[in-house]
Amino acid sequence: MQHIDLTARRPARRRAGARRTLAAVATAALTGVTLAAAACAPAGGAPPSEFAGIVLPEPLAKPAVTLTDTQGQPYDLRRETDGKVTLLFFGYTSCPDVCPVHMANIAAVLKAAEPEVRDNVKVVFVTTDPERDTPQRLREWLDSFDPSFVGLTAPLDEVNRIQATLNIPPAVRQPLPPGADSAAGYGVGHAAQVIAFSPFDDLAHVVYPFGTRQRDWAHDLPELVEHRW
Amino acid sequence: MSAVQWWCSAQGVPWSWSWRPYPGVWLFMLLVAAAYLAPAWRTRASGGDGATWPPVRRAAAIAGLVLLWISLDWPVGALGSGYLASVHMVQYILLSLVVPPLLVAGMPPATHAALARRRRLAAVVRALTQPLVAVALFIVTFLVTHAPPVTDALMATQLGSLVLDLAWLVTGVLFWWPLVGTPPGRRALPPPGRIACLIAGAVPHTPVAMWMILASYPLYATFELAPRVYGFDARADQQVAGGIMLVVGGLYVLGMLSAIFLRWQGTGEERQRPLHVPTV
Repeated sequence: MQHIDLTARRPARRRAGARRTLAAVATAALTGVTLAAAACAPAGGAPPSEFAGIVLPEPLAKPAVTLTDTQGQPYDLRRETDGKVTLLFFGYTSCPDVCPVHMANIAAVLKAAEPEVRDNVKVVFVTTDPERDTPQRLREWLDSFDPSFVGLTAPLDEVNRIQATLNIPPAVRQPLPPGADSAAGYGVGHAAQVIAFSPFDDLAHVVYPFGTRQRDWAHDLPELVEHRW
Repeated sequence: MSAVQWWCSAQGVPWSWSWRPYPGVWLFMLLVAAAYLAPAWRTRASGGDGATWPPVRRAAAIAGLVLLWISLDWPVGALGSGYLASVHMVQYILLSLVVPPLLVAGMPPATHAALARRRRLAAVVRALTQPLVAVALFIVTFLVTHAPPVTDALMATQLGSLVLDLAWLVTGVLFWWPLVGTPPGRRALPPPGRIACLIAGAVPHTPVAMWMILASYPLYATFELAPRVYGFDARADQQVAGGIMLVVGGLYVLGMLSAIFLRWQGTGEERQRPLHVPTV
């Protein structure tokens, strides 16, 4: 390592050293600003025909089922969601991570969306924990995100049968994850993807796994409303 | 997740107020405290004059070490690295703006002297505390570590989170050293220079804070996809973070500017004297 004498005065060398240092700093600054600029770029940098979600190789049919809504009334899924983009999700209200994040992100984007998008999207949440998710609890929980969200209940066997038609593994009761509120008692292992059904053919062509961000939804929801497969 | 988590980082598990140990933070604090205080202890043990380290500076040193520990350990470190952007911003304010000037202003004279005797290290410090270099490093580190891809990548691992925390602390110390003290081998920076450097270093805070406040959607995946803490909305959390940077950070910098200015305008021997007088 070069020895640097603090007491020596060598202006030329010091100036050259300072220039090199400044050049290095400037390069680093440019790199940083470039990174920041890239981060500022809108999420919709992808061509508009591409979805942020995962496009399925084989579309899934919207289940022809009638469940119970939070008012205790029968809810015919196909009839009630006809002509709308339907975002179907299976989860439970005591979920500590995936469910509230998905619901909060969709709600935030819908709140900011244009009316022609907002009015043509239905979010349907089917509980995988019917034992604890009473219609009242389900309603209160969904209202904390968006009162327009639909909450449905059915016996767990029925819910798992519906999930099977969508290639989703059955929901299973399991121990709480580390750090979860022990008052919750138990957790429910369930699929983490939101299934998006087209308004035109009642088929799901795109699914959204956990990790889908608000900017992804903001990009895809208008596409889902408009796109004919 | 490993059995022992050494440093706070995003874990993706629900937040809990149950205490968690972070042995890496404790080890780091021990090393920092030892390096920072050991020369003073040695001087005192050998019968040196302890009066050269006035109580007010001792208080600053202790406050700096305590705040450093608070910002890195549970719960602030854990919340800030994996759950809430607002707490992450508190960490930034502490590690970049509050702890460094306290550590510099409170530095024991014996530590300063010991550093000056280590010529290679002192030369590096001297080069990096050249005001333009220190300000540039401070700004670049601030911008890079607030770029969402960088932040998300770093906070996903314990090593990355450690790098992030250290980057803030080290560039903070280099930035503040000429402003509240005199780095080894350098002459005291005149007050107008201190004021100019502080303003230059703080200017980028405003656009970044406004970006966080005005962004339509959450910028950082780490906080957007983290298990919610008391249902705190991710965008609102980000706006609070921007507000903390803008208001708390802004007021703090304004306070420091006022302190430098008032000291500059002081009378008699206070005039032109640095906040921290080196002993070598």
